[in-house]
Amino acid sequence: MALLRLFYSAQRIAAGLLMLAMTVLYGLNVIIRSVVPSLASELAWIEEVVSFMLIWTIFLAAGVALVERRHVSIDMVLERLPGAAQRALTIAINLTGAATSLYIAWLGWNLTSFVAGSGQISPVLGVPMSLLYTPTVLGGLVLALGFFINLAAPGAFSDEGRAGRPGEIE
Amino acid sequence: MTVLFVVCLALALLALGFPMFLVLVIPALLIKMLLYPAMPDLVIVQKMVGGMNHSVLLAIPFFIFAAELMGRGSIARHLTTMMAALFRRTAGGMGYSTIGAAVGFGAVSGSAPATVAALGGLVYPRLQEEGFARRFSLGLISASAEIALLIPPSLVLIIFGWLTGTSIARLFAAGLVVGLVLAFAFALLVALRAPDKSARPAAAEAEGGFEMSVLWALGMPVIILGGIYSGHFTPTEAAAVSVIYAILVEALVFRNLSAARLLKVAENSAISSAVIFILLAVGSALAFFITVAQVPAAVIGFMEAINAGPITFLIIVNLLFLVTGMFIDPGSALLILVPTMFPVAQSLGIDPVHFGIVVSLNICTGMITPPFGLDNFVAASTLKQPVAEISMGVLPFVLVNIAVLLLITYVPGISTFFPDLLMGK
Repeated sequence: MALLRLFYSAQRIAAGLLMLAMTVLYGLNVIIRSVVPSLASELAWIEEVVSFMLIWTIFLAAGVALVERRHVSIDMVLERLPGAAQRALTIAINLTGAATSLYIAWLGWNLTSFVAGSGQISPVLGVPMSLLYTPTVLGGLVLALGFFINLAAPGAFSDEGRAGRPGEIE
Repeated sequence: MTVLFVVCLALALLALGFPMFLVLVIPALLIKMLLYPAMPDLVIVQKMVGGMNHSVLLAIPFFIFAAELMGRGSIARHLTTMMAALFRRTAGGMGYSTIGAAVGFGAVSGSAPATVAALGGLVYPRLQEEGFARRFSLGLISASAEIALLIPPSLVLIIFGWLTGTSIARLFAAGLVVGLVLAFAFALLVALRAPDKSARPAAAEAEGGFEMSVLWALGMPVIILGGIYSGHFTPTEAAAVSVIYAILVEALVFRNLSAARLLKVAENSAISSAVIFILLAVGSALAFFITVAQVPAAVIGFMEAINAGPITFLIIVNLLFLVTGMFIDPGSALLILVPTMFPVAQSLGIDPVHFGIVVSLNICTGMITPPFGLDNFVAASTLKQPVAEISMGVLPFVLVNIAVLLLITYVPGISTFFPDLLMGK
């Protein structure tokens, strides 16, 4: 459990740092470009780096969101079911979720290795394009893990987000 | 037949409490397996990543980050205090202040629950003090928050713009006008229900004076709206700059932001963004299959068969989105319905900006419509009041809202004149 806690705190912090870096890079890029337009071509890499960072941030944070129970769902029916039925349905939801996530991780792996095999590189930085798809593999695996945690120890991490529970969209 | 089965399955998953992203991705996977077995599987993941990797969408995490920084920091509090000071001397002034504060907060945040959370605790006691009925106060808070969804930056409008390729700048201009129309309509209701002038307490005079520091808060709308309409920034660029501005103002002017807190806010923003982006990812995979399976063409065929013009179509849209908005979050509602309905709207010659506003306003109305309106539940938990009280209180606002909705639906000019004025036809 302690190991899992460390794992999720690390993911949380990594996602936060990526978010911060992404924003500062993109924001400075805009500001510098409007002050010194001649530097624009020097900064073309920023847009590309940020698009990679976004995908990584999302898949890192999605796993955290799952164990902190932040994903959107409509639980009006679930909450009103009698104990046994509620437990059965919760198990079904988490197993379906884990299976779907693993399937997506597998599809992600196929795509990542396909793109890696094609030797495609990004236009400005020249890094392998497969880096854009790797997060789907890791994200799928982490989501599957999250569904298993929610099955075995529901609510173990849900206090973390509470302190500063921000507005979900809408 | 297969499509019908998949739709029923999705509805069942939704009702049973499956996470929304599973409700969207499972049908996409099933349609792929059952109807298009020959298509390479890779296309699903490709569509998912493609659904997130778009510079327009980058505005979403940035605006969430900016709103988190300001909603929990000093900027939003100053905006709210300023609005409260503005209407202090009017009868029922706090009622108008609540609406004004929602408009002000909407200008820094695109989220209704965030607005209820930020404003609710602040204005509810003061509304009570001024003699507003309890139910009416609760309804006012829940309903006002909805204005924040329309005033730019609006996450709903960004998602709509990305789904349909409509200009975000135009949608924002239209959202501003329609948000203000809604605010004005709510203000009329406040005027009708405002308590007696004699009941106005003198206590309100003592607090909420005008401070110069409030001008820093006004910098936000200037960056976002001024930047976009002067042609300096794209909405995404404005969003990124607004975060930098918020960090600087909170840290240097108000001295209210430590490095540790900044990281915490960034973490929470990343998680809030992930919740939306996972939906966008699986939603675009689903949208791809909706298009490939020619669902929009079938709907267009159906509309032609029943000889429906734009008016009939918009009535159907109103009902469909209103009901959907009652049950599911705005992002998912857009992802499910817009890929099907937008091509139909286009074939009927409906202006994309007008259609976007109608759709967004419907979703907003759905969010406060009892018994299921999600916003009422948020207000209930923020204000620690029973949902039933809020549902009763919000009813007059729902009626006003529906009247505004009909007006906006059948007078396209209200949505389109301002974007046309700012940016040309």
